[in-house]
Amino acid sequence: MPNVSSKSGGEPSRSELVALAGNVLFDTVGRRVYVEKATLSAEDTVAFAFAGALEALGIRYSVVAGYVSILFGRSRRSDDIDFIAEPIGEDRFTALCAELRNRGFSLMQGDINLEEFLKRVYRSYLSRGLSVRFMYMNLVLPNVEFKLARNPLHAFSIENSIEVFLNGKRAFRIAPLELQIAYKLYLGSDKDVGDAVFLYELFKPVLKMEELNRWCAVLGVDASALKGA
Amino acid sequence: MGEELKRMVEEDRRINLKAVIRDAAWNAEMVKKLGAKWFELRDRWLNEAQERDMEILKDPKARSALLKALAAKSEVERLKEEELERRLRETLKTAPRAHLKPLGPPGA
Repeated sequence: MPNVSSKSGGEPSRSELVALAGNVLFDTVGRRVYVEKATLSAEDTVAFAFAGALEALGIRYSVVAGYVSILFGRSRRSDDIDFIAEPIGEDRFTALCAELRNRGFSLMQGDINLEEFLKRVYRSYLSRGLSVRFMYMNLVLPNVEFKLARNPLHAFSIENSIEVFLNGKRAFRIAPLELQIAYKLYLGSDKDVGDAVFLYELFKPVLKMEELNRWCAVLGVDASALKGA
Repeated sequence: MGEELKRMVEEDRRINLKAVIRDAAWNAEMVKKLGAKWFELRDRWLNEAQERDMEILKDPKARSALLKALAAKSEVERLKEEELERRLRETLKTAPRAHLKPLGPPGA
């Protein structure tokens, strides 16, 4: 974990670290977040492994939704870890499945070993904007829900994703927090509003408020729940 | 009667939401105050719950029911996203477009 104090002193620096908690640091310049924890949860392990396959193939992505709050200490579980990837074609999807299979993943929709089947899955699900689910080491929970970017919000999430370092290792990329918070408010269930408030309260010192307000306006959501906290 | 019931449900929901917000804010405070210790406690709980789930999912009936529930969940999420996309198309007519643009080339 980088040292906060070493970054102060007025010298030109490529990072500006803000300590959000004893074990959570945010680099406001490099758009990175560092988390140190003694043990990894099943969610962390699955996310780490799936992101590794995407990065090995140079596929850009971002992790969105509930797992982002869980990663930073929200005390709840999630059935799935949501990944959104840049649009890829059938062949790259097949290559991704091969990489995932080598790393211990299987496909919930069917056999990950059959290329013809994978192409059919691509056409029936991903190319139509639907998601597919992957299991790690045959674990049904938590699984990875994977889909391709198909709207400007997805594109923004990938383009502006934040790098997460877990116990000093580059782990994966998550969607920008301002968009995450506004989107959670848009979804509006108690669980989603709770996640939005949690992220807002934890990241308040580093959030770009103008950006958060703009996303709330774009999504047409009322941000008063955040102020109420 | 119908109106009264509706008012009571809305009041319940308002109270519940208030509790959810309070709990989430408290959760964030715990992360800030306890740091790694909080994560240790939370992860112990997460991992215990995970082990219990794995026991339950050894039953093929439970596993099959869960898979069906996950498929239904994906469908609900897809419908919510479609509604959002419809709303976005409307909003984009007035919102600043520089904020929302198509994905650039890889490595950009």
